[in-house]
Amino acid sequence: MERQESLEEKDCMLQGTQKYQLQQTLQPDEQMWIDLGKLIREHRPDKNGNALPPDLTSGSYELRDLSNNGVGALFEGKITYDKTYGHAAYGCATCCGYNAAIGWYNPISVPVLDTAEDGVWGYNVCEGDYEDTSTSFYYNWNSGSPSIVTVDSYGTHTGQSVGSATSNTSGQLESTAHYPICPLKSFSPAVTAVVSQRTSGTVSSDDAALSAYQSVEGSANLGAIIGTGPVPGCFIGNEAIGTVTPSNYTGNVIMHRFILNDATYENYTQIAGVTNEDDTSSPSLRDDNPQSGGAAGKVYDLDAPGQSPQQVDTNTYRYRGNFYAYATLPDGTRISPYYTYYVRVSCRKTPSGFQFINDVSNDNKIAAGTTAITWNAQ
Amino acid sequence: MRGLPICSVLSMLLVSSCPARGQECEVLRTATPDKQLSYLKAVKPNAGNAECVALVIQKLGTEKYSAAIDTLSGMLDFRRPPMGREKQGLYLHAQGIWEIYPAAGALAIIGTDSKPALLAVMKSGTSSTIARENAVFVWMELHKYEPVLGISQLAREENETNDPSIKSRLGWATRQSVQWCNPADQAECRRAAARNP
Repeated sequence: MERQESLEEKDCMLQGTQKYQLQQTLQPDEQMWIDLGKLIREHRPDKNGNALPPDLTSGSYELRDLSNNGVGALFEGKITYDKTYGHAAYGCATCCGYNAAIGWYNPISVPVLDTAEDGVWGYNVCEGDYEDTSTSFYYNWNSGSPSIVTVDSYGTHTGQSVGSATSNTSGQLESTAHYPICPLKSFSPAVTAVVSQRTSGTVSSDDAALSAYQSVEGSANLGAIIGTGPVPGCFIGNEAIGTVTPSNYTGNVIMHRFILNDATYENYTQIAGVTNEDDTSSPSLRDDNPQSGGAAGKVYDLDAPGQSPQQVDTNTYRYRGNFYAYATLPDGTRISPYYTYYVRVSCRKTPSGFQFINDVSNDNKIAAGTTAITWNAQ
Repeated sequence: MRGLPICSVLSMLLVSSCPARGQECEVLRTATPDKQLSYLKAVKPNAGNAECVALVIQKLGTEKYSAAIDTLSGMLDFRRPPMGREKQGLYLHAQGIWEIYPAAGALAIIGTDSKPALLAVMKSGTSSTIARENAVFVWMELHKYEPVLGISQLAREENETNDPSIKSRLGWATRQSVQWCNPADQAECRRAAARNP
């Protein structure tokens, strides 16, 4: 077995923006010794021609097994024999690991009787970026409909007939944790989600944005509410839920919202409206972590559209809007079908506070489907 | 430099003559982050420029422009005016601190690099109450999925300082932070806040 090891020295004084990289091929049980003091004194360039600054006294470093990004087999030890011109502290390395895995393509187009390669990106938390981890997912590829598409051990898809099908794989990558536990963790990159919506009761207890919603609306209630927070008024509280498959998926999934069309009215006169506008919530009102609070595969988005009339008068201020919600991975890949819904609100500000107005039947509600955006929703 | 009229600032930074107010904002919308930050450092928010200030703050947050952290932390109590259809009373989003105080939202997006500046606001005797409240909110937003850890770190800061007035302000911040825990976490959050090693 041949393994390659790379040591990266990051110059802390430059905020980790510059790297000093050493690379060496190690035979089984072979060791690589690095004398940092000597490298500094002798201005020895690294593989990219960079030298360590002569006044360097401290920094951080990373070790990487270049030939295996799944289960690494390196062991690190250090000896401090001279601290005259620098600093050193004993410590054990922590594992960088991966916290998410996603397919290269989703969806993937495969011509009939032709092939298309697919693979898996793993998110390396130390690098803050995705890396190709496909080899760790070899031999586990499966096709859900072999009559439409087949897939070999290495993720090569072959189209067999016209149609759509799903394929999946799984693999083990080193997870993120602190020494001495660097557990293997199973990842399945074929992440999907289904969006649903809660419009009554209270915000789910495992929704990490619950407290933020409470501070805004003055309660955790959903549905038609008189909000008593910083901007009071008549609102329709709702919680969009993305139920993620597999339920043990640990990467972030983001709920988005989009306005198909809407209109606002003062009594019967339209005063504004938009079409096709992104309306995604701020992170404060979202829970993007499918495992937070024991959610076991659910992500959330809280919203409360509505009217906050500025002055006390006898006018009715109305809103009619059509929306759709969907779930994506952090890179923007959509992983759910669209969930379409509508919101209707009619509100008045009276001397005693805000009131929902019900002069139009089925007003002040939220439901799946679409609504006419006329003042009377007809 | 702070307090210069908006037109003067923009003239120096971006254009040779003073454009109309709407044009100023349009120029800033597409300006580089360093120019947006220079504007923010120079401008004194008022009713006439508040929308523009809010826009620039939001842009710097979206850009995750870490160089703006100190300036943004000094604007945590800047409340943006109603914008767009909000002026007609329509609110499509729930209006939390993130929405109302744009610097809070921007610092939360920039992320954990903001923590030292947030801590400085909480410690400072010159920060307004709203600024300190909002600093606590952002701190807890950064620990949204580990609220107990966020509170423990505040409690540790409180315990480690010997300055009685700073200790008092950090104690207040630690108690404030508990409100951002979900009901299921409240008991553990309270314990973390009360911990006194």
